[in-house]
Amino acid sequence: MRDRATVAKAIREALDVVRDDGAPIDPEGELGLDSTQAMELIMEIEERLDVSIPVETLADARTFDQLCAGILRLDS
Amino acid sequence: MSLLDKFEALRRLQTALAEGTSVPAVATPMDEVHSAREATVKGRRLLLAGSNNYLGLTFDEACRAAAIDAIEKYGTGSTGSRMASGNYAGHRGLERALADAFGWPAGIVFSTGYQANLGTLSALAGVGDYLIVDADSHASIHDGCRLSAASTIRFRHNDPENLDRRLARLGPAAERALIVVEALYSTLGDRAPLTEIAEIKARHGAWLIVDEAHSFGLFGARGLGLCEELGLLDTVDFIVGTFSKSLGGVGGFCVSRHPQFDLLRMASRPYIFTASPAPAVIASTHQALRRVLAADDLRARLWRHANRLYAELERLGYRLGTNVPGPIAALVFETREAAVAHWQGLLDSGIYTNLMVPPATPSSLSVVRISLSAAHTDEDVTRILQCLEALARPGDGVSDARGRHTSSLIQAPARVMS
Repeated sequence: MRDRATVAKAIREALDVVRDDGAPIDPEGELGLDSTQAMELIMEIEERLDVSIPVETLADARTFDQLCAGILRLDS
Repeated sequence: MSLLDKFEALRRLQTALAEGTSVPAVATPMDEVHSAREATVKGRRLLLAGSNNYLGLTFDEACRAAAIDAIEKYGTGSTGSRMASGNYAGHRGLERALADAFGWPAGIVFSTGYQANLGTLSALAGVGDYLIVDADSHASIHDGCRLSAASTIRFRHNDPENLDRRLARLGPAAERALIVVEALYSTLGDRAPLTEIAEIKARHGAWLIVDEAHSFGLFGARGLGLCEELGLLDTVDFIVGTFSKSLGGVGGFCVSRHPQFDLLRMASRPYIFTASPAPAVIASTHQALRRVLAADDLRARLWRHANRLYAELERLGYRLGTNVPGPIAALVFETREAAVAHWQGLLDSGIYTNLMVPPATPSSLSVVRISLSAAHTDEDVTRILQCLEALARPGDGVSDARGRHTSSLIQAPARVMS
């Protein structure tokens, strides 16, 4: 089981790898990634958390908070 | 924001894609097609080195005769779905022939190659199942996954270890996982490590579907594809293919060693809710299949061209999508501008190829893709190579350098390639 802080940290680190603009993360704002970046983001998070994240999880998540919640739901 | 506002971004993309070329590189208007080798675009006769006509069968005499005969006998359209009035003897005969070619019990024909993946993946994997998909798969595979109620997990392109880890995480549920890969990836022309993937599949008790769209008719002793060539027909569960490439038609198929696959017809929406292929295309495709199975002369000619093109391009210093020769040679460039310049340079020499730039390419690569055909002559390949040699070394003599493995040849093109 993963807690929210661990998942949020992994997403933050993965976003830093995928995005090159270094813009601050707005938890409730749109992630604003293109399809290639989105795929790369998922791969980066998967490796950090040792979890497989279905494509649908990202498709349903438009914001940082929603993605975090979607990944936490995978454990339930 | 209104409904159509988002189309403005597409208009900008369309304009950007048209920049720097004398004719559109995307949706190039083919005004006349003269043969498997040549077409006229904006009044210019061009050599076709960017079609999927790998065996050149679109103009094969027997294939054309079969299509014309089918029109005379069955008419132009199929009048309905396979589930209704469109279930002709030709459709059933082609399905039998495809399954028999593999020695398998089941085969289904789809109206397009796109629908073959859509119809197969969406119906094979349902709620509680998993689709484990190579990240660089064709859009038809990704869309098939979206249409399916299964959970879709992507693995890194051509990375068996990455795939292994995803199956390991599933544990016993891996028995409900279908691994989806292509044999030959069309953008860069690279092959899947199918032997490793098949071993991983067997170890986890998962299932494997291989899309042989760009390899059927070209690989294997009988032309059945890369799985046949690698001796994997006892391991792979399903093989998808298309009629629009080596078979010179339009349509797609899936065959399986599992007899239950035939029942997919009852569940696959892209199979049920569409008109079946026209009689003419089924007849020409069946004739093309007979031609592929009867002799290996066409694929032998294609491979001669491929081996030569790859060896020469490497000598010229071009960076390719893969170093393993195949029917697709993808010239990879650092910048979009370099790719556009090469595409236009080839066009100026009367050679049509494919220009592929981000966002349509994996890893944001800019690519000029050359697709070979058995219809090409040795002189055609020479022409392509001479043009690329001139483009790689502007202002320099071409014939001078041929065959010489000097360092200048390798270094000179580094300006635009790496």
